[in-house]
Amino acid sequence: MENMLPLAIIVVPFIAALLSFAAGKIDKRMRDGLVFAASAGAFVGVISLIRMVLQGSIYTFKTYGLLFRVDEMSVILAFVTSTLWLMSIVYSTKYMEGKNNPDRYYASLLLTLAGCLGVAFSGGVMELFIFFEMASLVPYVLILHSHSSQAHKAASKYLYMSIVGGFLMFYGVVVTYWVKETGDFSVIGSGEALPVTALVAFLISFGIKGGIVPLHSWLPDAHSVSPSSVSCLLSGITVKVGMFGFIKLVYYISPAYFSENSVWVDVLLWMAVISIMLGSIVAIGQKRIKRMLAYSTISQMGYILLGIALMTHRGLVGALYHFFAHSLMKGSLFMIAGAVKHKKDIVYLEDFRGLGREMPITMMCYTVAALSMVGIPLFSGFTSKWYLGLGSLDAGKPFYLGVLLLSSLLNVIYFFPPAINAFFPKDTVHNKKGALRMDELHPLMLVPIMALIAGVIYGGIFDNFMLELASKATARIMIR
Amino acid sequence: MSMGMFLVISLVAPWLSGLTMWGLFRNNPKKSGILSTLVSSGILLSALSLFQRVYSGNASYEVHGFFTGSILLSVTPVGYAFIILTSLVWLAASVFSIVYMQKSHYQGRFYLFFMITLGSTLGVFVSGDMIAFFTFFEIMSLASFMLVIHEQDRDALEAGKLYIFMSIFGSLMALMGLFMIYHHTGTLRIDELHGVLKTMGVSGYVAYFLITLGLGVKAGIVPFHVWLPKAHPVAPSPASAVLSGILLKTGIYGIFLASYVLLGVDASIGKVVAVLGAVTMIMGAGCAVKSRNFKVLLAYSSMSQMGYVVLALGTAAALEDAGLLGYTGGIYQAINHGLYEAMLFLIAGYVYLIRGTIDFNGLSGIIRKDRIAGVFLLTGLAAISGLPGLNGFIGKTLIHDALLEAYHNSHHLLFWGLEKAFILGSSLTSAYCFRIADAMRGGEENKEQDLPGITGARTLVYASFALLTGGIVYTGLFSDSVVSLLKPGLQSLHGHMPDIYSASALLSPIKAYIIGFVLYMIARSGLEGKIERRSKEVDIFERISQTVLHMTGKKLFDEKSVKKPYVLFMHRIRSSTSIIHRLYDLIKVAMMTVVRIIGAFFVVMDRGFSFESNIYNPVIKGVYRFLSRLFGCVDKGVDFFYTFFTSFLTGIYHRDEEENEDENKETLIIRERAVLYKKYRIIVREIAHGHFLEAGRMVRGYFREKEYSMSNLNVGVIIFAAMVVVFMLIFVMYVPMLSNGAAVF
Repeated sequence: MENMLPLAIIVVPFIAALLSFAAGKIDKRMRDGLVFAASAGAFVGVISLIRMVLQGSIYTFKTYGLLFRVDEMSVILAFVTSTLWLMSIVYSTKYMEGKNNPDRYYASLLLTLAGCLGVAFSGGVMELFIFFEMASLVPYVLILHSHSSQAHKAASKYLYMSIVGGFLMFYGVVVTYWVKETGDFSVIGSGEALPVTALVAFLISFGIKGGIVPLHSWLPDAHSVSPSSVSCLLSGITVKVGMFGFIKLVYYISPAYFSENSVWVDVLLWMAVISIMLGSIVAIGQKRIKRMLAYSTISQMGYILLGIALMTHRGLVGALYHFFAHSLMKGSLFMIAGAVKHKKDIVYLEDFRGLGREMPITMMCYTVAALSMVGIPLFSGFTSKWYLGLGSLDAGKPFYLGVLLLSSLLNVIYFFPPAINAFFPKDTVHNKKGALRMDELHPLMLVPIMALIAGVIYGGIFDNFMLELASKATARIMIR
Repeated sequence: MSMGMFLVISLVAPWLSGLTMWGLFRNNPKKSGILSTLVSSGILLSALSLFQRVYSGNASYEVHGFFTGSILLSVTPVGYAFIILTSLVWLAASVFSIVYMQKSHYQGRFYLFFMITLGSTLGVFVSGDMIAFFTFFEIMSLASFMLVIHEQDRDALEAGKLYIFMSIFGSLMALMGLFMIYHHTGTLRIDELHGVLKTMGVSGYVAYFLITLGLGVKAGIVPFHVWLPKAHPVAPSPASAVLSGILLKTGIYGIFLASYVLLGVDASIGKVVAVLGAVTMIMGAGCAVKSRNFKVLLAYSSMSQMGYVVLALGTAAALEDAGLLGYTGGIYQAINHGLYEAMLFLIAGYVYLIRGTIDFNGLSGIIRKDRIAGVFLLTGLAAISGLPGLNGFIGKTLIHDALLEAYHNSHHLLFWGLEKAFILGSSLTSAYCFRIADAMRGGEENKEQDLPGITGARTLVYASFALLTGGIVYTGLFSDSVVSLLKPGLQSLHGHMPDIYSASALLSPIKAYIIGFVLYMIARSGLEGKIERRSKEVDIFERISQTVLHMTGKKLFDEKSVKKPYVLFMHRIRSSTSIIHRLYDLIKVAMMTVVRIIGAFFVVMDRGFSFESNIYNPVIKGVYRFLSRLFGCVDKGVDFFYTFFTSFLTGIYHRDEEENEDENKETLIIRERAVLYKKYRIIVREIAHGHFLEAGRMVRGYFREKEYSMSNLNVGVIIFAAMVVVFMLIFVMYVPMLSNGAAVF
């Protein structure tokens, strides 16, 4: 039974993807119900798995030649993945209504879900590679979805970069098997170190997936052309799969390279710093909301990489907590961007002026997410920033604390003006028409956004289980 | 009353009532105002009944389940004094708002954020650990932002933008300091942090300065004061009253915690902080003397008063164990300021209600028209200028004695200078009081009728003034009781309490009044003279050029003939060789840059710091262009970088400038400024092209149209510039101390 649950979590969306493609040909509602049921099933499964893991059942098992592993770290990724996917699918039912190729859309959505969950539960480099490829290649179809010329360009760019990343990772996997004769995460870390070439191959491959700066160029294009229900998943989950890979690389695959004061640690730290600063600075200059959010994602992935590379307990807790915080914040922000486009056909930030009068709830959600992004206390963004900052001090590197705070200041500069302009436009002062004229979203689009925002607030205020999970996971990772 | 009950009333009730007002009484500001009054009086009563508990030392309460642990809420004697002050001022502002807010708009939103600000401000004063302090501080900044931009006109939005960016910038600085402390100790509970910064070595000093300067943004300390004179005047008057009366105190309370609790005593740091305070005090008062309107004057006055408080806190830290006098004086002055500044802002609101203006001419004849309000205004002015018998006198005497004691103990030249600076500050304070009093004279020529609609509600207005006047008189007459209230909070210190009504103490306000009167007379003659000169249209540049031109009885050359040979000559140079060409360009651009930087410096001094209109265009563009020419880049690259850095600052609020045909006064002033600004740029260009005659003519026009630029330049700016130089010298001398741990002074 224990073995069945993780397997079922991965297999159910996979099968449902195939079934839904067929079901869509027969009846639209049947397909929607199937898709929802599959993602909800995955969500429930992950929740029950979390309970088991918190009670201490950590295990590795092998079925059909594949090695799976269930521990705190994997359930963290599985939890944020299944949550965001469920929300996105609820959101899609209204958002994708009347758009082209719905069957293809839902099928590839579920396949990507299966890939991401597979990455979370993979127990060795080979399994990681298989599911990683699944989670990288299937989104190509989703990015392409609108079939516009920009979408084609962006999707091709994404595909080429993913394939390069995949080849490099394959090289790394082969070399790992050649050196260690196994791919099991629990044993490959010890003993002889991998060749440097394999390390670099893994770094580039995960860096492409995670959108770390020299390798980020696919990210803004892909995020801005894909449907918003997809960009929230791309930004919320699939780039975090790359970050998950970084954790595996630093702490499991080749820990020998990442000892104290090693040059590779500095490489990772500088990649993180450059991502943080460049992402924030470039986001300031953006005129379209989705591109701004995409660059912000680059900067936030820098936070996570920073937490991983600091090699301190609290830093890693911050990074793992940011998995949770960032996917909720950024997922809701992308959903809001999509909602605004869907309802008002607004893509430019400057057109947000006065939007608070028409879509007050949506814009309140935007404001909360923006505050959390900046790291105001009471929101989850603050908690992760707090742990990351303490981690950098623990490591004896206060410079990175300065970087974090400077980037928060830059976040203020690009996240606040749309919110301020939305609620306080200049031209509606003495004008009674400036009063509320509600033109809100359909509840099916509003509820996922509000649920994610509720998660942001809950995660910021209360002593929450994510933090417990993150610190347990960190303890387990750090023991090695 | 139990602590939990008090916390519910002070922290939860404002939020609930605010939501009620927003939800139910949105179209009924009167009900909201009454509810707000009830809530703040309830808080006042419950705070008063907490007295026994605070002084028996068990007023703390721990809330579990927040921030992965627990947060501690506890009331210290100093925090208790601020809580009483907060609830009293909020009560008065609420009573006043019943009348004031009826004419405003979006009252539901106003009251919602008014109450959230109340709850979070009280939270700042009851927090027993720094993380709670920081959280409440942050909520307060965001909630008060909504009060600043309430009017939603151009000025308010500009000021609000500056306010929110600077607040968050400051709190990030403070957060960095907190990180350093937490990393060192593993706790942020204030009662476990006594003297912790001393154990941290150099990083302790860094953390101290980060916290002090970060919170100093909120308190309006000099390099970070620029938001204050913009944000306070644009808010509605009840909000200005609490912004100035209370919210500045949260910054002061934070600096007090950083100095007294976290740092303990440290003489050398104390001196730096004291100098910072003195600069703030003098600059604020100097700008107040020459300010444009009544509310701007009050804002500068607030800043100056915060300078007094910071000066006192710094002196107390410098006095080490004998710093009781300084801390008492500083907190006393902070309380005083809360009372009278709030009242003056409320009176400004009242004047706005009956006269429809916040200019000084709105004050003329107020004492004739409305004797009661006039008496209240005079009381406030008397208190702020330190008339014996009222509270300002007590606070100033305590600070003055602390300065004298510091000089007596150390015989250090700095304290002698600070004492003189204090007298100058007091004189400037009385000078701006004279300015208000002067504006109140007259009335015969003011034939304007009072605006209707207020007559029925005057009782409420007077009640709100009377509440604060009661506070002023009580703290003025029963100073011993207040001092004994504060003393248990400062147990680790000793020091003698001076005789407040000694002869020398009574003499110092007289001195200040006399010097202040002279200063005001000088300033006034400057103002009047400028007005006369303008009316006569005396044109020096014109006259000189005419004299030169007419010496031979005819025009020697007209503009065309001036231009022609010059242009030909330059053309020849340009077309000769590329080196000369480049050299010429370089010189031209260098000159342009220098002129721009100097010009921008004066513009910044004059109008304060404003992102897009002042600094960025002239300086950065000039510097970039200069650098690009130097390294032979093309201009396109410059424009790219320039646009890159400024695109986020411009165009945020300016897009529909043309569409807005709202020809109210503020818009006119801004348009006027924009025109002047354009002229200023044209002048720079003319000088750079060598057309000095035209440039001179334009300079003349520039200053004639912009008379207030001169008025602000003569007193405030020159003093400020001198003080900045002194401060920087001192700071430079202290840098070795930070690394060696040995004081230079």
